[in-house]
Amino acid sequence: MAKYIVKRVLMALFTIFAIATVTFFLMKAVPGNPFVSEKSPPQSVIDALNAKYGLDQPLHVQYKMYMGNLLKGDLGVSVKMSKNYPVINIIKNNFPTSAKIGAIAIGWALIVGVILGCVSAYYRGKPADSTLRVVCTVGISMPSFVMANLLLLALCGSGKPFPAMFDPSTWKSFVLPCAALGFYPMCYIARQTRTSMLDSLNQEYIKTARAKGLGTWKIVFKHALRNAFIPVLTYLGPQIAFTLTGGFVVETVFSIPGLGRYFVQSISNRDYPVIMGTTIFLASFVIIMNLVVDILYKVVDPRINLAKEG
Amino acid sequence: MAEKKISPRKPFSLHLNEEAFDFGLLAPDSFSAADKSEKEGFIPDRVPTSYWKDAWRRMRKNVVAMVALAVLLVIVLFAFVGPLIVPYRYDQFTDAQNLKPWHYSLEDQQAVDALLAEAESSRLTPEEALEKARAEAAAEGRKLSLTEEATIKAKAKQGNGDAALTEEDAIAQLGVKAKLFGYSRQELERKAAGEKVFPHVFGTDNFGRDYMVRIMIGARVSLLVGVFAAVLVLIIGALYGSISGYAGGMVDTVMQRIVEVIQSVPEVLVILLISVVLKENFNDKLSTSTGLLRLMFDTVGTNVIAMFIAFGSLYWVTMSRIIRGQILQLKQQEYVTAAKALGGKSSRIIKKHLLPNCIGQIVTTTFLQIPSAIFLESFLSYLGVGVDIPMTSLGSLCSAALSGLRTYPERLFIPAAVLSVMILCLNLVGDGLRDALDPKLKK
Repeated sequence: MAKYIVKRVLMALFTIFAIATVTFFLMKAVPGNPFVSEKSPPQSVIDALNAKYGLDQPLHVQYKMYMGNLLKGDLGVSVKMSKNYPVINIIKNNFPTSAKIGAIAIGWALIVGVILGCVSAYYRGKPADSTLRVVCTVGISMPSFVMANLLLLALCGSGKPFPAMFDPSTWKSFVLPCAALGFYPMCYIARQTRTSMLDSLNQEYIKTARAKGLGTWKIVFKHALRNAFIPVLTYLGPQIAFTLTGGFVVETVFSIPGLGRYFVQSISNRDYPVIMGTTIFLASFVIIMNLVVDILYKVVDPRINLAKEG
Repeated sequence: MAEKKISPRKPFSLHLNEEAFDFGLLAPDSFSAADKSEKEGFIPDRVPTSYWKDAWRRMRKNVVAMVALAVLLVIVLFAFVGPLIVPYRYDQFTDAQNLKPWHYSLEDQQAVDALLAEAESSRLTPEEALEKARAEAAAEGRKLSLTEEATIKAKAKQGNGDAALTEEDAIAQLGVKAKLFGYSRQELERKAAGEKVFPHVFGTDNFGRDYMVRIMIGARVSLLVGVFAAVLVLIIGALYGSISGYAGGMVDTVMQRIVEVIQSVPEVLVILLISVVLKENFNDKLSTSTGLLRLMFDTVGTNVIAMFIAFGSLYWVTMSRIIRGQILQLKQQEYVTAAKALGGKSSRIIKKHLLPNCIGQIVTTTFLQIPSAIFLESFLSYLGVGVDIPMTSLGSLCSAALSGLRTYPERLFIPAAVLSVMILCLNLVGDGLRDALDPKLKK
């Protein structure tokens, strides 16, 4: 177990390192200079800026510098937004909002998805099952921006139940973004739960439980779900990544001042240090979450011998 | 099976024929060619079936998949044949701007205009309103104060004193019914004059471009992006997976470590990044490049190429894992050993023996890549790193529709609906394919 965790952590660190490296060289491959734009400052100023950020150094020196700074948690400064605003501050200020929305979205998606999946599997072939399957198949075919805009148009604005402007102090502002963001994972989780639930409902021990005279509720949620939940857990990692990137769209649609909206803005602004810093941060976040899910997986089901598999 | 005909002179039969052991019976004519009636015994009474025919038979029984396939065909026709029928081009600016997907007949429009004009003329000018108010006040036997006069004038000027009709009010008042399809007034006049005018079925956008043609082209771009990305994934994934699986040992370990690293990367994030950077690079090169490269950039667009590369560089991982798993199993089979013993080269064994035997899995996985590529393309286009203007895709149409969402919600909903239906059908057909090609996997 310990060996496995150490191996996975090392692997994750290497992945983060690889992403940082790729990001660095990709950004260096962008033609032009970040300080040159329509209203270019005089050449002397550009030279001074280049010297300040080490852009006049050879590439390997810049790389070493960047990596060194990265280890210290310094992700550089924005070149387009407010002057010299550190990227790490942008992340610190905006990530909590994104994380809150993402966590609520994943939370409700998991709870509702698992329950719907169980219901669907238990009533296999009945109208309830068919309806749920249709809804879920449609749900995973609908890009998140469609869902977000539908909700925005139908339920936001004056005279409608939810405010048009995002206000972090009321819970009402969170309802629609979380609903839009969680819908896709919910459908996905429901489908996966249904599949693995069907498997475990066919097992012998369910027959035993039934023969003992246990109630439906206990059989489904206590006996069958325990085994059915494990495969579902493996899909949680990719869903976290999906929710994170889906957040870009949802935050843009609902004008939420989260990290995703900043990221999208910095892409259209060509604010490379922000793109770079945010990418590395978000990628590391996803990788660490995946790692946690993987280790949890092992904790939940001791039958799985991960050291052999991975 | 038909009843077996036992004939002592069954030609070229490998079955042991008891009578044949009696060498006296083995006359020279035992080896003569079979005549017609004898040959009939060899015609199988069932039409031989192939892997694909078998799969198609299973697929046809799957109602959901067949309906999805039919809808998909309709969408493909819509995207590829539609633009040939509609006489507008997707980038053609016309005077018919901002049309809704419905219209009012010419007479109705005139009636509405007349009502509006009447309302306008019956409205009092500020001076007239003042006169009227003064007269009313005089009749009551009092005089208006200066402030009262000013308010009356201001009210009349704003027009909310009297009937300030909007077009919607007038339409509601007259009870005019909207008719399907968008026509501009000029087009209606031309139509009334006997000219044939093709309607704007989904209206037009703010440049007067026919929205249906734009959706057709958008659907075409999305489909093509999906198919090409899937082919790219197939090529890279199949190569990588088969080499890794077949070689085994150290090569496999190293290759799988690389796969693990790539797999733990959040793809969308990196694809976004790669597309942004490559697009900048290509746009930079575009000004200097000539010949084939230039032609490629001009016809496909730098963004789409950037997207392909980004997609191809990350999405092959799933495909390679599936193929590797299959090959690991298949290479234990006797026929592979036989091929090796006969001196077959590795590349030949992979190509001729291993890959064809996991074709079901390959087809299914490739097919299911298409919707996920379209999904991703729409996401990127929505964020503004998709296809270049004036080319369009369903994602960029949705994104462009956002600016006028409250007034023209149909501009978002029509492409979004086409996109969702397309992805839905592709998913359903893909599921059907999996069940048909690989019945063992059926859940």
